[in-house]
Amino acid sequence: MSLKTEHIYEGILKKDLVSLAKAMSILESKDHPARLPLVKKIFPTYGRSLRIGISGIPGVGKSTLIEKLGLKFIDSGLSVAVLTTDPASPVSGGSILGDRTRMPELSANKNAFIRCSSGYQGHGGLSRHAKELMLACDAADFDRVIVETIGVGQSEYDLAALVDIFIVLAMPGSGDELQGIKKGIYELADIIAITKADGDLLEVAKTAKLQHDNVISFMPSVGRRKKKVLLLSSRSGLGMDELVTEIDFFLTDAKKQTTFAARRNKQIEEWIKQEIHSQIEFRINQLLRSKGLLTEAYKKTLSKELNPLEAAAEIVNELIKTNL
Amino acid sequence: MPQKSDSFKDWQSLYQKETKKSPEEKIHTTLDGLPLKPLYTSEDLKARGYAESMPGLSPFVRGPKASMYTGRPWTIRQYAGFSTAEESNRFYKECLGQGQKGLSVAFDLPTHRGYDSDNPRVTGDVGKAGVAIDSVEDMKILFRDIPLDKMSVSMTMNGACIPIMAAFIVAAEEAGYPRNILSGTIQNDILKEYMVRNTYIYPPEPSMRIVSDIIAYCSHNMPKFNSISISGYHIQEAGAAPMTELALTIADGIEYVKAAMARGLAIDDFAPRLSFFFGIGMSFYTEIAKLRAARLLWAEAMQKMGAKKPESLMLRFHCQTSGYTLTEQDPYNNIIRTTVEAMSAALGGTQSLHTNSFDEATCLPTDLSSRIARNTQIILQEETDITKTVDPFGGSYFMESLTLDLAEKAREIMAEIEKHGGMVKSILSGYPKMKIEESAAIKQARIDSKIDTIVGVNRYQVAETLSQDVREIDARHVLKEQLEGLSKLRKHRDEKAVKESLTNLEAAARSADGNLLESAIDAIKMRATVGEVSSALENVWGRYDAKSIAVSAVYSQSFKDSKKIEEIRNRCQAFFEKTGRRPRILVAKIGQDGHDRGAHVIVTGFADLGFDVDVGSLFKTPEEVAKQAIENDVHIVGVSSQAGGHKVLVPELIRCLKKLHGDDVVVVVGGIIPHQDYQMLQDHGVASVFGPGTPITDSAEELLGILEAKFA
Repeated sequence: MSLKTEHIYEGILKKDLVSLAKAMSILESKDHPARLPLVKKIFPTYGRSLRIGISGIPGVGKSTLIEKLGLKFIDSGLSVAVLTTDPASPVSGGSILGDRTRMPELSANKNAFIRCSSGYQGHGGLSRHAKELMLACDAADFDRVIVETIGVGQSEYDLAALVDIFIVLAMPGSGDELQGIKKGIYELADIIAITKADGDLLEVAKTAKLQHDNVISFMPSVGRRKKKVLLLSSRSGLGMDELVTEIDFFLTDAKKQTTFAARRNKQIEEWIKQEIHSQIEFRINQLLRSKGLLTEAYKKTLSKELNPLEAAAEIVNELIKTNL
Repeated sequence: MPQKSDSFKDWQSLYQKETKKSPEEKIHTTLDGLPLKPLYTSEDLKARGYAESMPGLSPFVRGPKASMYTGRPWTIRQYAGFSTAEESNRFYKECLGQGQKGLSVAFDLPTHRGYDSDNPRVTGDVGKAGVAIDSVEDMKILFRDIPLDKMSVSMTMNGACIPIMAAFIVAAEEAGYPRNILSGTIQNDILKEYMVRNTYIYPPEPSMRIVSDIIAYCSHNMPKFNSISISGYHIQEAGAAPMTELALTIADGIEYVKAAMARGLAIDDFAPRLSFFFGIGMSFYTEIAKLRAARLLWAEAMQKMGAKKPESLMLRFHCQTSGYTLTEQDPYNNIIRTTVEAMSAALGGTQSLHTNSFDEATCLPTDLSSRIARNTQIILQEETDITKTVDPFGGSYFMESLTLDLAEKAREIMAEIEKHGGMVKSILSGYPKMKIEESAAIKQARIDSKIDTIVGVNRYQVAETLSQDVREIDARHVLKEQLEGLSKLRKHRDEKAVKESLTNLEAAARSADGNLLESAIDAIKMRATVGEVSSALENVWGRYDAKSIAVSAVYSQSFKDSKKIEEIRNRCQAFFEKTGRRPRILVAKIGQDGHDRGAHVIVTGFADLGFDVDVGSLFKTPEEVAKQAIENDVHIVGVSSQAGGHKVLVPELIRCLKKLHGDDVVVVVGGIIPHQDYQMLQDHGVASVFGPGTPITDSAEELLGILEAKFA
C-alpha cells in the first residue's frame, strides 16, 4: 500500500477518497493492526451522516432504487456514500461484487462513493464491518449513507438496528409473505415500498399496497411516527419524489420528537452488543485453535465416548477457566 | 419400440467386441445435451416419424430453392470495414475486383452506439472494429464508385439503425440510385444485443418500435432490401451451443413478426424480406443439422402465425464461420478450422457466407489473410463438386434424425420463452443471458482442463510464435479526419433546418404514429449527424443499461483437475490470512466495446477460485473505471479488450489511476491484443498481458504470484 496509515487518518478527515477507501479496507480486514487506532481516531465524528438502510430480496430492485435515490440527493446538493454487500461463496470464499453495475450514473458521479463488500461467511446479507464502514463515512463527512442488505435472515435485523431510517422493498404480489416469516421485518420498517409498480404489474402492486396498508395498521409505529407504504417504479418514476419527501419528513419529524436521538443511542448500544459477540467469537476461535480443544473433543465424540452436548460443555468449561 | 433387425444385433455385438463397450455407452453428448449415437439406421427415421420433402417446397428442410447451388452458388460476402470511409471504400473495391460478390459493412463502435466521433466518451474507439460514419457525407465516400443498383450491401447495424439506414438511403439517392432498387440487408436485430453483443442504445420496448418501423418502411419502399437479419451468430459466439442458438434465434424472429403485425402490417407483406444469420462452429454435423432444422422450425412458426405465401415460410440466411474457434496460438490452424466450418455452412444450404481470416484472433485481417479467407470459399465453389447436388445429406439416417432432434429440443426452449410471455419479457428476466453465460463458463472449463481439445492451445502446442503482419489502424489519424469532417459539415449546413428536422423526429418518437425512419431521412438530408439523430431519440427514451447477471460455481464444477482448483483456493486463503483481505480484482471493460463473454467468464472463474471480483459495467470511460477501482481499493484491475481500443484506453486508465493516487493498483490486460502491442502496454505500466486462450487457472496463478511478491 502506497499510503501510510497516518496519512490515511489525516486523509479521511479531509474527505480524501483514496484514504476513505484504504480506511475501509483496514476496517474490513481480518485482524488489521491499524483497525483499533483508526476507529479511535475517527470515532469523534460518529453520527455526522444520516443513515438509510434498504432491504429486500434479490431482484426486488434495491440497487436501481439506490441509483435513483442517490441521484436525487445529489441533485439537492448532498453527498452520498453507498455500502452494498454481495454474499461470498461458502466453498471458494470468493465473491462476485456486481451491485455497482446497476448504479451506472450514480457510480460515475463525483459526489457519490460506492463501496461493495463481500458478505462475511454465514452473515450473508450484511458485511460484518458495516458499522465501521458507516463510521468511516461519518469521518469523510458524507451527508447521506445508504446501506443495502439482501433480505435474508439475521442481517436485516442487524441493519435495522444500525440506521436512522429503514426501508423495506417488497415485490408486487408478495402479500402472502406478510403472514409468514417476513412479518417481523415489516415491524422494523419505517417505509415499505412496493417496487416495479408499472405496466402489467401496476394493478398487482396496488393490491399489494392495500394488503400492506392493512397489515401495518395493526402494527405499533416506530416512535410516534406511522409507517408508510409507497408504490415505486424506476421505469415511470412513480413514487420517487414521494419517497424523498417521506425520508426527509421522517427524519425531521423524528428529530423533533426526540425519537431520533433515542434511536441513535440505541444504535450505540447495538454496536457494543454486536461487537461483544464478535470479539468473544474471535477470542473463542483463537483459543480453540491454539489449545486444540476442539480436536480432542471431536475425537472423543467420534468414538462415542462423549455426545456433542457433553463435548461442547466440556470445552466451554475449559474456556471459562482461561478467563477468555 | 420397433423390432431390431438381426443384422443390427450382429452389428451391436461386433461393436462391443471392437470397443469393449456397448453402443449405448459410446453415445456422445453435445454441450447442449444432444445425443450423438455411434450408428443410425432406418429405424431411427421411422421412430421419429420422418417425412420426405423436396427442396424449394415447404417446409424447406432441404433448402429454400429447388435448384440451390446447381443454379447459383452461395454469395461470397466478406464482412469488412475499418478506420475511415475512404480507406474502407478502397478495400471494398479491391475485394470486388478479386471475386467477392457482395459487400458487408462493419461499423466502428461509436457509430454502433449512436455517438459522433467528437463525443468525449468515445475518444479511444473511433475507427476501431469498423468504419467510422458520422454523417451522410461519410456514407457517400464509403460507397463511392460502387454500383448500388447491382451490388447488394449488408450492414451490421442494430443500435443506430435509424440514422445509418437513413444515411444509406440518402447517400444512394444523391449518387443516383433510388431507394426502390437498392438491395441488401440491415441487421436490425436488437433483441440479441440485450442477450450478447450489447450494442443497443435504447430500452427494449422502444427499440422494438425501431425494428418494426424499419420493417414497415422497407416493405413499402424497398422491395429488394432485407429489413432485418435475425442473428444467432453472436449468440453462439457468446457461448451458446448450436441448439440454444437455434432456439433463441427463431424465438427472436417470432417476436419481430408479432411486433410488426402489432404495428398493423400484414404478415405476407413483410415476411419474405426477413432474413437470418447463423454462426458455424466446429460441431460439423450438428451445424449442418441446425441449418436444416432452422428452416423447418421457421416454416412451422410462420404457418402458425397465419402466413400464406410460400416465400413467407421460407427461411433464408447468411452464415459466418466462428470467430470464437480461432486461436492466437499456431494461427495457420485457423485456415483449416474455417474450411471445415465453411463446409458445414455449404452442406447446410446457406445463401451467403463470410469466412474468417486466420489472424482474426488477435487483429484485423491483412490483405493476405483476407485473400486466403475469400479463396477458401472460391475453392469450395469452383474446385470441388460441393455445389453439384442439392442437400447432399438429405435422407441420411443420421442427418435427418439429428435435424429432428435439434428441432425438438429447440421447440422446448421456445415453449419456455413463450411461457415467459415472449422474447422481450424473457430478456428482461435475464433467462436467455443466463443460459448462454452458463454454457460459456462450462465450455471454458472443458478447454482449460483439456476435456475438449483445441490444437495448439491445450494440446500439440508449439513453442515458437510466428511473427505476423498486422493491419495497423492509426487511431489518431482516423479521429483527426473524422473531427475535421464533422466541423466542416457543421459549418456548411443550415442549422435552423437541422434543428427543425430533429424536433420533428423527436415528436415522431414521442407519438406512437409516424415512421421514425422517414423522419430521420429528412434530418439526415439536412446534414444532421448520426449522433444527433440518435440523441434526438435518446431524449425521448433514455439510454439503456443492461443488468449484468453472473453465474457462479459453474466453472469449477466443469473443471476436471480439482487439485489445481484446490491449490489456487488455498493460495487465496493464505493471502487472506496474511493480509486480512482476499485478493480483489476489478474485471473492467472500457469504451464502447460490448463484447463481454470473456469478461463474464473471468468474473465467474475467478470468484470460483476464491477471488473477490468486482464486476465492471460496459461502456465506461477510463476515469470511471479508475474511480471504481479506487473506491473499492482493489488489488488488480483486469481490462478485457476485444475491439482494439486497448492502445489508447489502457494507458489512459493508468494515467487516471495515478491521478487518484492509485499507483499501487496492478493493471493487467486480456483479450484480443496483437503481440506487437505487448511491449507498448508494458512500457505504460501494464503488469501482464493475457492473450486469447489463456486458461483462467494460469492467469489466476500469475496474478497471485504478483500479489504474493508485493505483500511478501
